[in-house]
Amino acid sequence: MTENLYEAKYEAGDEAGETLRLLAALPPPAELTERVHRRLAEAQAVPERRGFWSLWMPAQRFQFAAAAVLAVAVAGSMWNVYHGHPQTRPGARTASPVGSGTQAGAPDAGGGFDGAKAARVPPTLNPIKVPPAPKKKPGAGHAAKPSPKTLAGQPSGTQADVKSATNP
Amino acid sequence: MEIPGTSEKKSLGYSDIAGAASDASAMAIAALVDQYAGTLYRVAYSVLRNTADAEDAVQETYLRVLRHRDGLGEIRDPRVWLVRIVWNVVLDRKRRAKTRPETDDIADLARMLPVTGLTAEERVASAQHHENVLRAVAQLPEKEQKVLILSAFEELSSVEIAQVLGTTESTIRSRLFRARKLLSTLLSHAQGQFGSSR
Repeated sequence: MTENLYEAKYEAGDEAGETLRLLAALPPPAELTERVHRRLAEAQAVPERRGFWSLWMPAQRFQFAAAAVLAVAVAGSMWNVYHGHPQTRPGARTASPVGSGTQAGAPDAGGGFDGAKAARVPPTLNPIKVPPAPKKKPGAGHAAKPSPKTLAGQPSGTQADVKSATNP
Repeated sequence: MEIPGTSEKKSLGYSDIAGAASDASAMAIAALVDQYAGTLYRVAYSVLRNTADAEDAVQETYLRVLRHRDGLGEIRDPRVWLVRIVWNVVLDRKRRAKTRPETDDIADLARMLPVTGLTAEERVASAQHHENVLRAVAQLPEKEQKVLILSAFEELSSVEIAQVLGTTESTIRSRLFRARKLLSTLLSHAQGQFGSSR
């Protein structure tokens, strides 16, 4: 029963299948094979384009390796340029610009820049005077400090008296 | 593999240009052209429905073969392999030219299909029928449409169609059944509309 149904459907569709079979059986144009042969011959006549890499290094594995090595070298040198360059110190002499008006042989104190006669005096040249710290006597360091218990029983203000007693 | 007409290919400059190492592969490709160019053209034409496009697709197929000529010895069934390549080429081309209207193409194509021993009226009716069929095929889902088109080629068995489409034979059978069922429904619907409009 199922097969009959399948066959019935097959035949119904096969009516349309006839059109597709006619379409599939349309003859190819004349001299198709000759044209294909000619095209293939032309394609072979043109030398295969070879890139820079294949000229230098034929094996693809080596090309990748060489490219990787070059990339690492370039990255390393770039890192060196940016991070390994000596920083210019504030007092370092730099080249004066051409035609800046400085005479040849004259000392180039400003590095080509004029400070408009302004003289900056750093604060370290006029140091702040700090009074000397009081000297401790040799025996005073060993004096016993009053315990917090003894101080707790006394009224505030007597601590100074105790200190003055221990430190005459 | 048997290589027919090798001397003719030599005169075309095939193997003269290629080195001695690729001489054998060039001859093998020439043999493939002789044997299967017609089949490939018909496969391409059944999808593209344009003579020049179909021929271009065939040429592109063989150029791809030429590019991969080193692996020719590993191909077990060159016919299915070539049909598969041309099928992919054709689908690529069709995808790119998707915007082109197909209405006129179908009518033209229906008139192109061969008719023998028919009167002028019968020819017109036959062309109309072919046109209806082709329009119905165009309305089918893509997978069913592909299977139906490839099944029309007598050279291709369901196993080979499965190889071309990269699926199993049972899938091809079920898709074919579904396609025919859908097609008969669409055609009966179209005939009903045609009858009622009369």
